[in-house]
Amino acid sequence: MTFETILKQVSKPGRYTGGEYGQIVKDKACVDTRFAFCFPDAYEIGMSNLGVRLLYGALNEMDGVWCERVYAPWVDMEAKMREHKIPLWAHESKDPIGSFDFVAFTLQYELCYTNVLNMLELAGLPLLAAERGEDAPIIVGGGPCAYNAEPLADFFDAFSIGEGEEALPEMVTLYRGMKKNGTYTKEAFLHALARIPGFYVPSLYRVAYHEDGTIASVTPKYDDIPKKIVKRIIQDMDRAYFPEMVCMPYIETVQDRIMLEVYRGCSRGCRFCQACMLFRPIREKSPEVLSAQAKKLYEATGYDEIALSSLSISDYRQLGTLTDLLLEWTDDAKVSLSLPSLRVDSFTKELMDKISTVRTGGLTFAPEAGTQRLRDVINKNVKEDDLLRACRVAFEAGKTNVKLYFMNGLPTETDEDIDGIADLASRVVSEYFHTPERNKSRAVSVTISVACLVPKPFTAFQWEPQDDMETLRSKQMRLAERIRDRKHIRYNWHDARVSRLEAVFARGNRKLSSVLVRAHELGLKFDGWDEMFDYDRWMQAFADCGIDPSFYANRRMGDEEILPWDIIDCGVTKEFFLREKTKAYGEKTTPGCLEQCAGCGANRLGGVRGCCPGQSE
Amino acid sequence: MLPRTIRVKFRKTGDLQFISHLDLMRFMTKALVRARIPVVYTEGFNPHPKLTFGLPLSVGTQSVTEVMEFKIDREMENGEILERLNRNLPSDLQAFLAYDAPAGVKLSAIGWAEYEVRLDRAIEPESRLSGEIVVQKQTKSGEKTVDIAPMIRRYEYDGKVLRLVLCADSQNYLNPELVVKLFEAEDYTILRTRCFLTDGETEFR
Repeated sequence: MTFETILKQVSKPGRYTGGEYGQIVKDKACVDTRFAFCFPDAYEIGMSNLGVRLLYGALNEMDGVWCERVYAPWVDMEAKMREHKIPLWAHESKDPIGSFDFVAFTLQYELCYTNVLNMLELAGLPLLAAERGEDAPIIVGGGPCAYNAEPLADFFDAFSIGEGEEALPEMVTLYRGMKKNGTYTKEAFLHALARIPGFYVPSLYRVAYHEDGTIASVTPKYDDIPKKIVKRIIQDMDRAYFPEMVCMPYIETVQDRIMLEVYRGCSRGCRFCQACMLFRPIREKSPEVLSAQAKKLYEATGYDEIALSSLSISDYRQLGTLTDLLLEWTDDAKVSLSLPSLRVDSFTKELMDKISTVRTGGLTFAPEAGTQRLRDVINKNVKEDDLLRACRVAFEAGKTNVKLYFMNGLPTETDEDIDGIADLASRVVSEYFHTPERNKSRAVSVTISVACLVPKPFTAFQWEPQDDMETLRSKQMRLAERIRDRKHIRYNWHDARVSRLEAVFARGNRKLSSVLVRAHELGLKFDGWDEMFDYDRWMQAFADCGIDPSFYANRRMGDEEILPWDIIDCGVTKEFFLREKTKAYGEKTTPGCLEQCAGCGANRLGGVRGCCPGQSE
Repeated sequence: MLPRTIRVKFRKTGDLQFISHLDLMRFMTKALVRARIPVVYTEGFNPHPKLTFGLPLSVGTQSVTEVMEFKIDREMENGEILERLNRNLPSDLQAFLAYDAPAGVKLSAIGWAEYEVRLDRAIEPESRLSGEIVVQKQTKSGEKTVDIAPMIRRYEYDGKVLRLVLCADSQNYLNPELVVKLFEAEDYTILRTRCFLTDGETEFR
């Protein structure tokens, strides 16, 4: 049985072949350090991730270092791998990653943790860091979930906190240096790594617990390693590494376009949003740099669409200049621009007129809450008038589909707020019928998509309990009953059980590692996929380990409590989050950074071309 | 005389046999843009290079006789088109011929395709390929029981390589894997080597 034959027996064999145009292949004879960059989900998801593109390129800039890509094999391929004893391999070389120097995982969301364990096992590596030998690869984690990596602390050797473009090469340089001058042992290396800013080595920190399960103390084992790990940021985005080529998947993925990262951070400060805080302070890229980078990528790839990627594109202060610069060449090249995540108040006729080639990512707005009161609580500054005006602009232009995002389970939520969601959708429909120039050949379709709040670390809501499942379900049903106009309004809701599991791990501590091992033993994987998610089996895993998931998901955490993620400094201070929490309950809004500084603390980390007081332009 | 219709013949081998026809089309479109070949674009809301392909190739089948066609609206020598394209293609997807499309022979005129099959064991093709050959064929409306014998024009076996000429018109396209599966080999490779017009004898150009 050849590997080729196996590929003919699995679904989407293109996920496993490698050989993509733009992949980086190095001569093994000239490489002393092998680096496996693992994305713990299916290939199609991993190839769309911008962070991986950046880090893959940045690491491969190093002479003598070869960074290769690894993805989670789908269940049918995994079965073949186990049957034929094929260990997990890297795409470029097809070599088994178990003998590499580094195996890194990007942790994008909590439900990929079982995939991480599964990939370690498929690579032939012991799951627990303590059980891995001197010659085993260094297992590193990064990405948004690394900000609270405690549930994974027993499995990883180190975490890279924050932006990795400079930090990861520093880690590799340290490693190579120690290997070269004969001072390398795993222990010595990890100790030295813990002294590089932005690296968290969990085995070097002891966690003690109170009787009630909360954390009593977190103590570093050495005096020369930090008590709190400060995240890394790139100071000047114009000078940050940016790849001039990308590895282009053959099979269709979510992002078949150039993703141009326009700026990092977000000024709005919505109280549920973790991404906003993790990427502060705001740092913009100059329009000239952006347009030049986009053009180079276009010439190297042939993609016909550029997505201006950021948390809130309308808040990029030079958006007009940028679009002008891009349009100078994109029109002729027949490349279209896409502006996803446009805020409601920036959606104007002027914008639509000026940029006729711009695809605005469909009409999607995120009011998140059904009443102004609740929107004020969560600091989502969307006024109903702005929403209706934006919809009118779109309706006049002939569009008939609108998607609205909301959340259930927000703090202080009442029945009135739930009803408000349905009522808001009705008013959008009504706005359509009051627009004389609307497209009459198709009926308006308003889709309401409602998620459940997952309280996340490093947000004002990090202490909040998630609603229990009965409450969430009854809220979902109440909303369903309130929506009368089923001809024009569609209602999608997220599975509350999935959200619950996310909430457990988002605010989890090290005790959850036994649950992860048990979950892995029970065969759980690809938990983010509908067809694979098995809630009952997860509950069995928790029960088998004697751990109550409510402790993490549904408990209100104390203001004075030591939280598992307190070991990380994300720039924004705990005092700021406490202030915001108080304002939330007082139904008071906080203006965005562009209007007035709220003293979140992120400016302590510096940054160029942002809006914090004291930053340089 | 512009616009000129160019046909490019290329190989699709190795790992690239696992890329679907649709994926191939999307990839080639971008390759032409990278190569800065002055391809004529489609009109309408979402213009893109106008590109047509010959016979679709199933996933798992390799080929040394794939063809695609486009028009150019600025003058460029065929040799240069070939060179530019290949610089922007991976090694398993290389073009080997660029020529002016002969008038009167459309891509849709392909009627038969020849394949070379290499199996991991010796076979007796006569025992399986005589008389009626009834198989389950996947169609758009589900599985159908079909006699594929009329779709096998001829075959040859020299002890190592099984050469098949199979029907390739859009109504009765016969996937070579259906024939290969009759021999119950574990490992095999299928390579499309030539295409013929509906007469089954004239090679497609």
